[in-house]
Amino acid sequence: MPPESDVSAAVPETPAVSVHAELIERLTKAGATACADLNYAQTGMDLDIDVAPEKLSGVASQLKSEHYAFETMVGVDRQPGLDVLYLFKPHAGGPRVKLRTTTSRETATLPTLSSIYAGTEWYEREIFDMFGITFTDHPHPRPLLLPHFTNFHPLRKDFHGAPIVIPEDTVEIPEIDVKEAMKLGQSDTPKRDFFLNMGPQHPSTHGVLRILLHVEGERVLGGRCHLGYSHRGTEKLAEKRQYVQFLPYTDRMDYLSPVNYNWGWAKLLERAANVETTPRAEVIRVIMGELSRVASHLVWLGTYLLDLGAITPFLYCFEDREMILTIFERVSGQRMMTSYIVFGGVRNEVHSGFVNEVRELVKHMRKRMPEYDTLVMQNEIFLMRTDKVGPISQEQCKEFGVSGPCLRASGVDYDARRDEPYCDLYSQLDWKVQTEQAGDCLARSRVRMAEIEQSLNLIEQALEKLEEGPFRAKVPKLFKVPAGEYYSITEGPRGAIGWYLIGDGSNTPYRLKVRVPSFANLQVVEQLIPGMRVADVVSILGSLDVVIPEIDR
Amino acid sequence: MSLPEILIRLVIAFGAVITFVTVNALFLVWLERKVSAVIQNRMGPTEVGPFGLLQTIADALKLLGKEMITPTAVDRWTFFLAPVIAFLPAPLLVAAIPIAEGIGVSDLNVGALYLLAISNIAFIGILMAGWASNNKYSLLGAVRAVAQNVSYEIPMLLAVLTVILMSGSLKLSEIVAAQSPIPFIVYQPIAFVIYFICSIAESNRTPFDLPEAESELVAGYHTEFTGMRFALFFLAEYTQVFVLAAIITLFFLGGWNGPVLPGWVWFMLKTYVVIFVVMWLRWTYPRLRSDQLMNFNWRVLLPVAIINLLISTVIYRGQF
Repeated sequence: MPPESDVSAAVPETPAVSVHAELIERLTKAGATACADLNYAQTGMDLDIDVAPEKLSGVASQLKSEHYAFETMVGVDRQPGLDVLYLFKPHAGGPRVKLRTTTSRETATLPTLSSIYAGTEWYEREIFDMFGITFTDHPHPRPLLLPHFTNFHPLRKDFHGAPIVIPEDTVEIPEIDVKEAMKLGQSDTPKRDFFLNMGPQHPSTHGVLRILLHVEGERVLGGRCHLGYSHRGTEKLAEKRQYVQFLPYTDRMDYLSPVNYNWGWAKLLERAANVETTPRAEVIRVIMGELSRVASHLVWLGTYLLDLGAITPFLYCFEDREMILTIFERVSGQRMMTSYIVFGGVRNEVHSGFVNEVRELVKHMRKRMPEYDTLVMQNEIFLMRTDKVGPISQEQCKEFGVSGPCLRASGVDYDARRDEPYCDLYSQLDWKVQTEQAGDCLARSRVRMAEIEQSLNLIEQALEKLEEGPFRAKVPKLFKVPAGEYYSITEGPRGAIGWYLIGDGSNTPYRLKVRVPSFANLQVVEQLIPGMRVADVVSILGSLDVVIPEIDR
Repeated sequence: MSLPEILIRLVIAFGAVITFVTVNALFLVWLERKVSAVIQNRMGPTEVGPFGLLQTIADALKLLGKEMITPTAVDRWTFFLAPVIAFLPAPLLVAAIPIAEGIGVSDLNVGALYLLAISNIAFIGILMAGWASNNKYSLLGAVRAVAQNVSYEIPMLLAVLTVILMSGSLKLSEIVAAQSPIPFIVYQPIAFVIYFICSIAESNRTPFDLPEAESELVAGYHTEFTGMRFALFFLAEYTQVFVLAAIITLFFLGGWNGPVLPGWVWFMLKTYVVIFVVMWLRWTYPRLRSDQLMNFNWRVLLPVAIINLLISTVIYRGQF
């Protein structure tokens, strides 16, 4: 697309009756070239805005001044042009805005937005990996997910696989380069600082995450996350699979809440193909989804306490979680990789003892929750280790696209279950979005504990609504998504899981981008740790509840 | 006593102490696993021997058979010596602890002082281990261990001073004799609590297990140690737990004083109850942070210990 900046030429493209006319006007003033309304029910987005690369920062600044939160960035190879899409939506409610900017294959250069929305930093690095788009003035221009020596860009359409050749002389980056590239804080007392590699093999990085810490004794001066150790190329795989074939991959994105990922994928396809599920399927989905949330939060509780040095709660949490996994196994045949929620409903009918088993579980958890509360959440040492440690401000939440319990702990009342109507049942049930004000590790912990209680409430009420009926709607055998762009968001245990799908009318996606909550949540860590102690890094990391394979995809 | 007699006594004492240290450690490891199992709704070891009692022996044999890896970048001699020095105080301490009237290797006339002094040698070993490993985690662990030890030593000594003040002797048997009807815990509950907290901190156990905080420092100062060298650290740790419990028994719980049962039974009973409490704490609490640990020591324990000592002096030695 030519960098057209003639404002007056763009105005006629806008429908005269746009409900967002005022916003469009302000954005046009800031430099947007073409604005179009989108049908939310069909696409999951409200506003499509074209921006020339040089006007990008102006429009983004305008959005930021209107409290739009950054959601995700999607790179697309449109052949021949390369598109980059930015999604924004205010937490308080408002239209979801899609900014679209284009660069040519030859130049492949765009300005960075990281000075306005800091959360774009990692996304830009990922897009550099995958599409080869260079972002000028990027503060930390290094590959994120791929090794630094890769010379191909896998998500470009002309890439069909290549042998990875590791050049011998660049296997190790010289340390001095690392230090310079890291741009870490300077020590006041030179020569007493050193670099500490936390991970990729470390007990409390919860997977293969590496944090390069710059420390002075116990004090942390700064740190950088290094990702990509468990990168599987899921997004490229999606382009090579039929829609129905991709379902098992969604299980494996996040091994702690596969049901929520199944649900997100199913919901996306339902939105794209305009298919309704059956009432019974909705109820089963809510029950399974909330069970999965409880299971995931239990794992978080156990491992977080393990990070803080208490070993015992871990075993109790896993015992409880095992009950949930047993239910999953009876329902779907698999403890973890359920592939249970499918396009149009659920894969099979629940077994006969399902309702009783879930009731038992809820009863059991109700007994357990006060124990967790008194023994863990009110423990003096637990409070000392979490209170006022690593607070995330609301501003940071907006800039980084933090979501889920981490967002709600900072006092932002946003939950996709309520604010993104992806399941009608949630609005009929009696529950509350849990928020805390402080935004520190303690607040995040409290939000998660309160969410377990709310999930139990939801499960109990949903069980009442479980009525006879088909568990899956009639769906076509050969499934195709009409050409178009769709976005769907569901609330997983870690936050909002966003699915951006570009369909070309065939039975495989043209491009699928998964916005994983941990990606944004983890990125904040680099902002939180300077000035903290090594032990706090562990505490903060644990409280964010990240799943690394989910981030690496 | 003639020279051969002294030598024979020495050999017997040495044999007895080493046997006790080993058997005690084997038992305590088993006990710890069983206690943690009960606390965590598990079974613990069940396979080897009755109630899994021989499990630790199997583990020890396994450790003996393991390759002792010496990383290339270590400071060789310091690395070899560190576990030895860390283990060294364990038998020395056990040798000075009488378990009943007249039963014990040696009842020194400065027993209390000796115990407190010798137990600190272990930290030289830990510092050496951390330094020699040439590993940042090990070094951080060692630094934490030393800082913690030096700080907690002070309120600990002040707490012991109150005991010595009341008994008027440094000899352990006389300290026990002074508690004949009523143990010092009744007169000195605050000193007891301070001493208990400090000795947990000195033995690096949860909630003060910062030097080997596995979720932060991988394994702290013994990250690089394998096989029998690692086992020596392990042995030292569990002997230290026994020693701290024994000292608490001697100083505060009336040692071997008790009705009906023989003295050594009382002593062992009290000691293992204290050990059980220490284990109970370990499997219940999270870990403190290094600065909180220091704050707690300097801002809470130390002033309380000083005030306690002053008040005790006025009350129990008020006649001047």
